[in-house]
Amino acid sequence: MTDTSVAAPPERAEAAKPAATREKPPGRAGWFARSALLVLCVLWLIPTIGVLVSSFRAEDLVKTTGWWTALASPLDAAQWTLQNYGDVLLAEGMANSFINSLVVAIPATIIPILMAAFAAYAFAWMDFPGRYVFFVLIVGLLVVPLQVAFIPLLQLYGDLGISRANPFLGVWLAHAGFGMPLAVYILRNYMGSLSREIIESARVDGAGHMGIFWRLIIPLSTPALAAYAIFQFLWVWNDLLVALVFLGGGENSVLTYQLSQLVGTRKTEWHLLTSGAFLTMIVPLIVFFSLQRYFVRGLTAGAVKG
Amino acid sequence: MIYKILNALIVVFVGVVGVPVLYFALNALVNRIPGRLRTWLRPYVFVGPALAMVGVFLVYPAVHTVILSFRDRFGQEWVGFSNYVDVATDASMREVVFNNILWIVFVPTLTVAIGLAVAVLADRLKTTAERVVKSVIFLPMAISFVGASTIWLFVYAYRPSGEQIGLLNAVWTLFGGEQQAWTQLSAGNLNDFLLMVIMIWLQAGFAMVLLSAAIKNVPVETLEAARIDGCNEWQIFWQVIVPQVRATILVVLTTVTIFVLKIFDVVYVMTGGNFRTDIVANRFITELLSARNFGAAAVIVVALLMVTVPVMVLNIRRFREEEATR
Amino acid sequence: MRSRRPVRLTVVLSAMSLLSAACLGPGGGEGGGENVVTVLGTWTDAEAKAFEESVKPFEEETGVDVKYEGSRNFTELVVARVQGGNPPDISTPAQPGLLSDLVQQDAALPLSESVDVQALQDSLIPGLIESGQVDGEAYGLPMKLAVKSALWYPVPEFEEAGYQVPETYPELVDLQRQIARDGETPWCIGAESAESTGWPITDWIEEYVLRLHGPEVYDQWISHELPFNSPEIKAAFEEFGKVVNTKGNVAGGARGVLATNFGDSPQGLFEDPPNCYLERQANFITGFYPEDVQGDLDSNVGATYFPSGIQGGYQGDPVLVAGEYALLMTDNPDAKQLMKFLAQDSYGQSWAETGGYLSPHQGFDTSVYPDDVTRSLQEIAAEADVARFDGSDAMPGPVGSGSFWTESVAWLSGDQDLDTTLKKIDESWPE
Repeated sequence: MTDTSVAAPPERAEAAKPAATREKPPGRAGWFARSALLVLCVLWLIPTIGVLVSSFRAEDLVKTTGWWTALASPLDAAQWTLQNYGDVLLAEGMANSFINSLVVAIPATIIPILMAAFAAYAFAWMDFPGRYVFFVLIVGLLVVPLQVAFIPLLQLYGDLGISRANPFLGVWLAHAGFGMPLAVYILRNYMGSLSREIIESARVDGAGHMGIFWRLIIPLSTPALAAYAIFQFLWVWNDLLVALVFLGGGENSVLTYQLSQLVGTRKTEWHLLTSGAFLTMIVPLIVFFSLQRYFVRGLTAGAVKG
Repeated sequence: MIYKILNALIVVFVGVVGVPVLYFALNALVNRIPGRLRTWLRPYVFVGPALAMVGVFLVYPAVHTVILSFRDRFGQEWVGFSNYVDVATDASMREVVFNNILWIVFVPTLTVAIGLAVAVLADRLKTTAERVVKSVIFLPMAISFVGASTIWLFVYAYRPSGEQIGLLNAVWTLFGGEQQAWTQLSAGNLNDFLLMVIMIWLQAGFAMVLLSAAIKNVPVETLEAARIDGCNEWQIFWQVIVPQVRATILVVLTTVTIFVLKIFDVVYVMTGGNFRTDIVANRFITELLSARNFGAAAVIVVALLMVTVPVMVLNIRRFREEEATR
Repeated sequence: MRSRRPVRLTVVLSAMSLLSAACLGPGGGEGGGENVVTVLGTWTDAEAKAFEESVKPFEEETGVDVKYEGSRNFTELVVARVQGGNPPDISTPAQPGLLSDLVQQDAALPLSESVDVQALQDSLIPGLIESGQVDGEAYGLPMKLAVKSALWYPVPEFEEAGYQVPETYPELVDLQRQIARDGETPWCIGAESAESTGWPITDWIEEYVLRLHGPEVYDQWISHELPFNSPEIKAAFEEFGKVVNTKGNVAGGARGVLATNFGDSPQGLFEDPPNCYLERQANFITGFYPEDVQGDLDSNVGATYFPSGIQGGYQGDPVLVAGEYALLMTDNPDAKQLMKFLAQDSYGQSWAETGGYLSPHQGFDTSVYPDDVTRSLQEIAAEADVARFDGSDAMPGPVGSGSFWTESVAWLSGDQDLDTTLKKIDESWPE
């Protein structure tokens, strides 16, 4: 789970050229460092492992015995089952919700990034009245809790007819709006740290702002864009609240909504919850591991003092 | 299903391509305007849409909320300050605020401490081992809230009779303790801290990533120089590394604090605010959804906004300093 | 950058976006158009199917398509839809408090718009229409009944141990002592229900208010003429406190009650030997029984009236009920037709056959119920002197689904004394 309020530090970096990283010293961790990290990793993993183990156990076992008892006799095949995964996957509307989650998450990630990139460029490299005030306003809005927006936006969408015409549009815009301050903040910091000479020379060559933005700034900012994309994607994919309020159930419902319904009308279906939790994790994990290197590099180069 | 997928593709395509097209169209429009007005207008083509989004989705709702806070349960009649009086005189509110202060004090500091520890220590491992460690710590960030709450309900679960299925009770009874309903133990705010553990578990990965990146940018020369001067590793950490990543530490502290102010999910799922664990953000959700008391909910949001003003001021000041050095 | 291509592209794209909006439109869950009635309800899974089945005759007769959507998050969804100007034609709130909130937001039409209220009133179990009124005007159409005053016990084990099914409250107290003397735990009670934790406590309190003071005091209480911190209500809390806090009455005492999910609590009845022998819970609890028990209710479990006749208390037989109302939210003529259909005293036969359904009508044919347990529940409602709707559901949201739950939990857990608890609940009542 992530939040839109993550932010990068504003330090200026010598950029355009990749930040100089120091040589990695070959594993010189002492016993203290090793054991401390081992303990932390175990602590961090155990809760998740418990759920992973539970997700392969039969319903009545999950409800009556601790998951660790299964590990005492791991070869006893009778206690393992794929039934829970089957139940979740075959539940009515799951495939549909999977598509809906993608329909929500992809534009809701890309729209705010593009808008924020344009704005960040202007804040970093254009001169105009109100530049300072507007940027401060956006940064200040980082702290507004998004819950305040639900009622006024529902009314606004109702008046404009968005909730009837295309509810997905409403969700994209809402996520884009809520994620905008952080996106502008991260990207402006990054773009502001790009070398002035490169941009000046492009200008001398006769390029307009639009040209500089597309041909120079966007390619140079890939790491920061990717970094923000991960945060925003994780947030949107895992969001239940915004989807519940603006999309609700039925044909438009997303995965997190379906999962929350699986819990049953009034009872705690542990066996379904556990397998469902793992199924919804798959896409975010793929995104995380495939973009991981951009992610670290992006924040490193743009956000951290060199 | 195929129809649905095709439809989805079209919708996503339109959503994704529509935005750049909007900018090109606006830019093309501005290009037709002659002379100085064009130069004057162009920057607003770039910032305009973002500002409009922020205006509609954050500024307008915030103003709307302030107005709602002066109206009745359904926002129909003006009631002056009576919602404020109700919330302020609500006896349970003091406890809620106290809990929130605990959260603000402990969660960001512990999150940063753990994130920093992992970042510093993992830096000394071989590359593969470092990646594994960092992925493990980051993993919770990829888990949906429904998933995370399931995970922790399994840790704190309690059964009045029969076998325990909660991990904490299993460990506790192994060491001779008596099984406990952990999330109900309000003595010494123990249950508050148990809930904070969840939040720290979720956020430490974020702190670690940023801090690790900062630490990797600390120039080796400064470290070597300190070693030659005879500093031990502990002194190097406090006197060389920490001062150089101080700005990043501040940023992480700030953002986790903002997050703590906004989050309600942990409390909502684990205790529903019962057993003296309620915090402000959760109170807002229950007023809004369970009690359907829009006026009181609005007051709580206004209070949250007020609390965040210092954070906002900090942000703005940092931006000013940064502008000055640019 | 001066090329006109992008402009032309814009035209194409905006046409496409309109197109795609139109494609996805029907999924928007908007109020039904021609020949469609949208219903937003609380029933999911099997219950959702049973509801859809129950309106099939209407669909066949009129050619109108009933589109049902059921959600655990019914309350949030209906509030969101109303705020978004996108309400369903009919919703089915189970709480008169929510119903009244919707009416006050001008989101509902009076019952007289669609059905003959007087005829309906004559056919229904008394008291149901009244609970669905706002300012004297009837809005809610009772369409499914829940009987809360039921006492459940495991039949085979009861016979084996020689326990008698109690018919008066003193007999219940004696039975409770007898079970405890035999070294067993008498009560199964679970009050945990995620964010709604505490509602089962409020049911108990309501039962005791009715049994100690009778319906008139009850009515004054739920309309706030009688404050929460009056001696009458305090006595009801104390009576429930006695049940929970008497040592050995409930597994784990108050902590156990608050940690046990209400749906898991009846599991104890069916352990061998049982962990507990008695449960007071509404009829829908059978849906949480283990599957083998559900398959053969009659030989596993018995349901009887949660007895009245507390010494010095009210001497009649009051019953606590609840249930779902159908609420008309749009001016759709087809939806009005559906309301008429739902108001028939024969409505719900197919649902009743599958189990889990009780009709709110007095004249409903009880022979369609699948088992004796269900029939005995219907008898509990029919034989009562007086029926009253679940009080917490009828109170305004800030109390009924707010402080009444949370403050009761704080009291039971020992975090706060009873006087403070009652005072705090009373202060939260909106003017």
